[in-house]
Amino acid sequence: MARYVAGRLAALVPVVLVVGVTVFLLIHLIPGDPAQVILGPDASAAQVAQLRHALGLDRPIYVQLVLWFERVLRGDLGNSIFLRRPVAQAIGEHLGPTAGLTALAEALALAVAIPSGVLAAWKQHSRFDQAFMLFVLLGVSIPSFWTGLNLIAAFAVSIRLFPVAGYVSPARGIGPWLGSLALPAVALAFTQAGLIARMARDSTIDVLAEDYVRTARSKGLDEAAVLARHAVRNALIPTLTVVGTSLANLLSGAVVVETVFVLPGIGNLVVQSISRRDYPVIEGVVLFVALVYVVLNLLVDLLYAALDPRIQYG
Amino acid sequence: MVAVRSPLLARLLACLVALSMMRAAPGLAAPGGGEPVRGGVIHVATNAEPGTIDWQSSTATATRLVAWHIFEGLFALDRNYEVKPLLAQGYAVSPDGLRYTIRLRQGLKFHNGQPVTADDVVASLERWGKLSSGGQETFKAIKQVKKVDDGTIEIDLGRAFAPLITNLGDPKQAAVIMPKSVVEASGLKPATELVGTGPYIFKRWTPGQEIVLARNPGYVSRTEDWGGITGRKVAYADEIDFFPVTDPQVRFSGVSTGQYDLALELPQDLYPKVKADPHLTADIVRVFSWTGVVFNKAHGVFTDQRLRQAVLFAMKPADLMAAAIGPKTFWQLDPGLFFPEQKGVYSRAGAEIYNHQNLDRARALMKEAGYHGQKIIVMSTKDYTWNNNTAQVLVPELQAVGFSVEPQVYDWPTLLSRRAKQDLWDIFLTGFSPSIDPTAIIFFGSTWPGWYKSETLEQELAKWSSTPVSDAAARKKLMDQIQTTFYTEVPVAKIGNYFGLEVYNNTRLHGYTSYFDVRFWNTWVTH
Repeated sequence: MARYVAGRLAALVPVVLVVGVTVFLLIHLIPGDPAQVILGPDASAAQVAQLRHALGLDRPIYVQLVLWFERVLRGDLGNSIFLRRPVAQAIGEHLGPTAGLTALAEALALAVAIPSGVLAAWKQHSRFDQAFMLFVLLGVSIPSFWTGLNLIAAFAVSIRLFPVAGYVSPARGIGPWLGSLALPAVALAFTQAGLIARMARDSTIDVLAEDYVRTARSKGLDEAAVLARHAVRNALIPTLTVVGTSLANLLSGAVVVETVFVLPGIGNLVVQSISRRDYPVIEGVVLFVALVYVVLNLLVDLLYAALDPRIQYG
Repeated sequence: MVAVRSPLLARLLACLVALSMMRAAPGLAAPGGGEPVRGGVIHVATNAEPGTIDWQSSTATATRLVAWHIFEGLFALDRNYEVKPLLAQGYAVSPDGLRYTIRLRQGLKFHNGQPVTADDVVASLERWGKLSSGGQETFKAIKQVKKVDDGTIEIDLGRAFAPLITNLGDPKQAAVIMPKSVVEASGLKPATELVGTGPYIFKRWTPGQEIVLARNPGYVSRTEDWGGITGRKVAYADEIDFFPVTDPQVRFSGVSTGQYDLALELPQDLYPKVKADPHLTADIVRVFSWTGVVFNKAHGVFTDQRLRQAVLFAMKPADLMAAAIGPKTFWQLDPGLFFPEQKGVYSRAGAEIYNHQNLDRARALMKEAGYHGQKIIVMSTKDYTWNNNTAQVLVPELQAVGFSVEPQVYDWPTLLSRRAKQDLWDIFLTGFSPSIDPTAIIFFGSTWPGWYKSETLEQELAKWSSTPVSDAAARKKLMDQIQTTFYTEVPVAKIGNYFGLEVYNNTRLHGYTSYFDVRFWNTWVTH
């Protein structure tokens, strides 16, 4: 197991290398200039050139790439052009809202998706199952920003239950913090719940058709026990894959939702940085997200072994 | 009786009851502002976050509307867009017009407690002369800026330059005064130590979340009721919090619910909703921006003035403005380089050419210029809805007279980058925020994208610069000449003036007055 984990972690090195170089080249090749954005649209070419020089952006691109990579290998992601602080610090500062939002959205999605998916499988072809399928279809079809805007109209403007936008730090109280994350979390969870629930339903239907479930029923176990002891646990293994990828998807979905709800998370940071061409932050955030994807996948693989004793890494 | 156990459900029901009561009695709006109240926090939803708050470093509106609460210059605009002293007590000009002596007001202090001295002023002006395009232009006429004593500076000119005081009061990349130590530490990079003399002090900036300013308890205000950016300024609110909220619908929802006191730059199609809500007041900002077609005069077909004139005659500004902005309440067809409210510089010269679509004349000019179907690239952006909407109408209008057009749509940073390269475009669309003097009009500069060079205009601007501000008749005549040249040489084809829509919650924000950008001194909140 330890060797397996070490091997997977070692595989991070080429991932970081490829992602890093690709992102660096891509963002430097697309037009746009942080100096122009700082100086505003009325700045003259001479002013832009002056600031580009001051920021070191007039050096050849390969020189900038080598300098950046040297720093990354030393664990230094550089400094943000706009935020005037180290990129790692900026990511750290923006991580809290995204982590809170993602955790809350995932918890909501799981709380709705797993029971309803299992129930729909158990009551296959019933009215509940049909209603469930409609919910799933809506969940995966409606973009999260649209859900978000409608939630604002309903629960922040018509019924003033939650703030329209903005983030409250948990240091100012758990209630206000949850209040600031409630609507964006529901907007994000809606899509994820659809994906997870569909997988939970399908895998539960498959498991319920297995011989050992028939054996359990023939032994006289009631349906609740069959579901709880035999079906759900086995149905969770394929569902877990979707949960792992959905967690990663939440990070990308958060980009849009954080912008709509003005949450100062990683998503908002990357959107702002792209529009300002804040190269070091874009590079740093993409590297960070790539790292999160790899680690999440590793954790999901390790959880397989915990749920299914037949799976062993060695 | 049914007991409500869940506190959330109870709150929900209470809100529904309250909402139904509010709907039943729409006339029960809170009374007006009454006497000013000290304290509280003004919450402002902005449409963009600035790249920097150093006002000397950036021309961006997002910078200015935060920065002018923190920083002040020697001179500034009043409510009529005329320049008046701010940190300066006054100034004297030598008989030959080559020496300006500017006295500072007494008792001025920076936010760090240091007194404002002539050394700070000299250092700040010299930095402005290097950083800002207006400053660079002004310093071409300046021989030296020197300290006379702690409260007085002298500016010696190499040639007469009447717009000197006007340019020192220009709010675009303003000549604000900072401590000499901050100037030296910043150099030509945007300053990170934000120390000014204004009614509010920079407190903190949490990127993506908020910019917070706090009242300056030691602010030394002028006493005159000049309005604009100068005169008497009282900081009633304890704090001003600026929140960057990029989605306009969210800004509108926030100001409707009272989460924000004022929301900036809302889409004009929300105006009926604003009018229908008695708690909201629409501030239609008339001195806001005008839209134009910028030609590449260094490369391609539009180096020929006749083809630029052809575009002017091919366009129908009313259609372009209707497509771009929408309701007629929010736009105006006007030939001026300046807005009608800017009485000192406004001119209607060129009215016989502007907004006179003449397709035959356009085709004749194209034939005369020998146009034979060369492709012209029209760049626009979807980052600003009006911009791409304008292109949607402009392109078929140009095609209708025979231009071969290739529309290209980019995000705004990309457009800014491409427009700096002479061989990549022929036309781009942009908006021009108000200028205060013809020498400060950005597209008159030969280095700004478009690369306009005109001997006629240079001579006219030179005459303008040497004509004393006191000679109003001569200045009016010159301004007419400059605008006539604008319509003859067409460096930019003007489309129309468009107005901004800011909305504030009138139950919470009081004393607010309209201006070309929002200001919150002399304004108070009751919540």
